[in-house]
Amino acid sequence: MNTADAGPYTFGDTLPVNGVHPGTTLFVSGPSMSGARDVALAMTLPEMSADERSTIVSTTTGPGRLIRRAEQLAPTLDPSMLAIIDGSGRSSGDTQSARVESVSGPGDLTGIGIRLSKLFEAHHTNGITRIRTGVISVSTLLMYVDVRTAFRFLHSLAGRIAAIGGVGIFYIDPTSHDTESTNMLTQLADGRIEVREAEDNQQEGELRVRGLPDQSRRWTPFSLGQEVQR
Amino acid sequence: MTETNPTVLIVEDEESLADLYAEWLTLDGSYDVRTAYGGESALEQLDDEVDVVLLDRRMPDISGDDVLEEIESRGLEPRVVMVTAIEPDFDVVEMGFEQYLVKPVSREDLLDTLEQMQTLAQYDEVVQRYYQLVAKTTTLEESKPESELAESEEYQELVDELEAVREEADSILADLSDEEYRALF
Repeated sequence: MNTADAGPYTFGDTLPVNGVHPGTTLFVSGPSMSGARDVALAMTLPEMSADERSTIVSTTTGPGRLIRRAEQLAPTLDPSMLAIIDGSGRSSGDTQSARVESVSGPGDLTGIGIRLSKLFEAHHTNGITRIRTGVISVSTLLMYVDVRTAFRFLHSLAGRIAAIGGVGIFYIDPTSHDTESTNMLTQLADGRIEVREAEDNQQEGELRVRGLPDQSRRWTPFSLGQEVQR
Repeated sequence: MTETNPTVLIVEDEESLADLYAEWLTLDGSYDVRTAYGGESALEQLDDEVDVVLLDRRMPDISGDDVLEEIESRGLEPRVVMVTAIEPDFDVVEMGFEQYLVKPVSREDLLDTLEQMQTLAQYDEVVQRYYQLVAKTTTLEESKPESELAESEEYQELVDELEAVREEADSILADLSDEEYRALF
């Protein structure tokens, strides 16, 4: 697939993260209190001017609520550019023009995988090459499947994202697992964005980027322009 | 990796058809073939040496769906290719089989599909090794200081092997067709 002429995927003005090459997969890790989940969601949303599409695998938040949150983070968002693979088991709510596909639960990796691959194929058929894929969150998957199973699933997903020149954002809350599981899974990605609560200002968090070139490795405050959902 | 041929169990109640499939596979020379003319015989011949089951869906004694269920309840993990008379609905695609073939099955379709199953098996094997190596290195990294690791020959070998396996796993994945990729899940 020709991705040589495609520019980097960018993450807006509000996050201190530089653009990344097509094919990159990143882990966003941080406790949910730190706003890390919002960081992951914001990074997964499509850049409208680049004709991007996004697919979010949502394991705990119902589609309607997820879309509302996405619109708060990106006011210019067109929900029809969004597909949600919903394993939350919650009522869907107002999903607007977003495409929603339900699976039986967060542990239904077969259903999630098949739907993701079908969406990738559909985008390919329609000539869409800018594709973001988010898994929010890997921590929930780990409540349903063992680390080995999650490892294989995320490897195959990251590999496909690399092949199609997309970008992958996997959110994990390291406080809900042993360090070893987190460290093993995050090795599957090209880099890791660590998020923590800022010490002084409750409205903002701090993040740093590991494993990627041309990025700040120091803790840098960020603001998503919205009150962080806690 | 062992170089023995994968074992394919053909389950088909039309005996002439079962024999035809068996002949194609035997002539191809890359497979050890077992043949069952019905669900009951299939259950007798199923064991952990069977790598792929070619499973007719509609059989008079025990249906393909029931055989599939029995495979799962016995904890066996062969790759299953379901052979159906009509294109199955989307929901059945998520039953525990990897691929389906719609009758009539040509020799080429059959051999292609079995080759695909081998690719997927190879991916599973490599990703399994990759996982084990990641587990080993992660444990070492957590228990030993960096300075000690830098001097450890064993650790260096582990890291090199990890890198090689990672590349192998990635390259198998990169070469999969859309259809093969979907069958991974």
